[in-house]
Amino acid sequence: MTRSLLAFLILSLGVAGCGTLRDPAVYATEIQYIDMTVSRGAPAVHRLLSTSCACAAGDPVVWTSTVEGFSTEDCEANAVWYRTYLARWPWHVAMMRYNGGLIETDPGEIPEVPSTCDLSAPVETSGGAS
Amino acid sequence: MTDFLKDGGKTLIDLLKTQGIPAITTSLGKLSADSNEPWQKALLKLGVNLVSKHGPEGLDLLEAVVAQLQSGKSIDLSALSLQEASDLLAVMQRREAETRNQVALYTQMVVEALGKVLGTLVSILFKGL
Repeated sequence: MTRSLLAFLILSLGVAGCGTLRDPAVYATEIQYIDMTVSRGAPAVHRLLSTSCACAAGDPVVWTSTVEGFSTEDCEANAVWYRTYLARWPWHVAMMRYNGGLIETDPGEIPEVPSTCDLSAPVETSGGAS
Repeated sequence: MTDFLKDGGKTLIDLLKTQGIPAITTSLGKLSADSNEPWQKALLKLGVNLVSKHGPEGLDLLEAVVAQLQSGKSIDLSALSLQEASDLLAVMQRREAETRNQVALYTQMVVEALGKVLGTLVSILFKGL
């Protein structure tokens, strides 16, 4: 009986420890670093779109270059980056934290990425902008 | 995820192949109605976006993505735009979250059941000492 109980206790402790795959502190810092890397680039992209590109409203919107040395394709690529960043980046980061067990609040359903000329200011996340 | 990808994912690809891009929007309604989870709807939407933007190549991309999801391998995002990559990652993250929620619920039930058994065993052990 005692052997059975010991085996059961060892098994229970083993099961309890199965959920940990990463060091939570390192994982949290990694996410923060990735967030910082991405978020700190956002103001520059915002300035670039504001000063070097023009947007025509429509569905989808059309971005064109307004300066020499910066192509319309560059404007489109940066616009896709910026609107995806604004709409999705904080949510993706929150999902990384939630799925990694770092936070308990489910970030909820997937946010839409709107096709718009609106250049809102960069979002503030833990990565921060400088 | 696997069941939906085997059935819904294959249905979507077959539909796109046989009926072409203009038929997608109408047919998507039925597939979406049959989808139980938001991530399934998001996957269908990604499929429509890929085909609308890339044409037949979008179909190949979708097929490759579904195959990679089915096999549990990491996805090659290099052929996708940033927004398409975000769409796909969002589907995967939501799916993982839903699985995590289910696993957490099940684990709680198991822990509670184990706790009861453990309590009984300990009381028996102490009586035996």
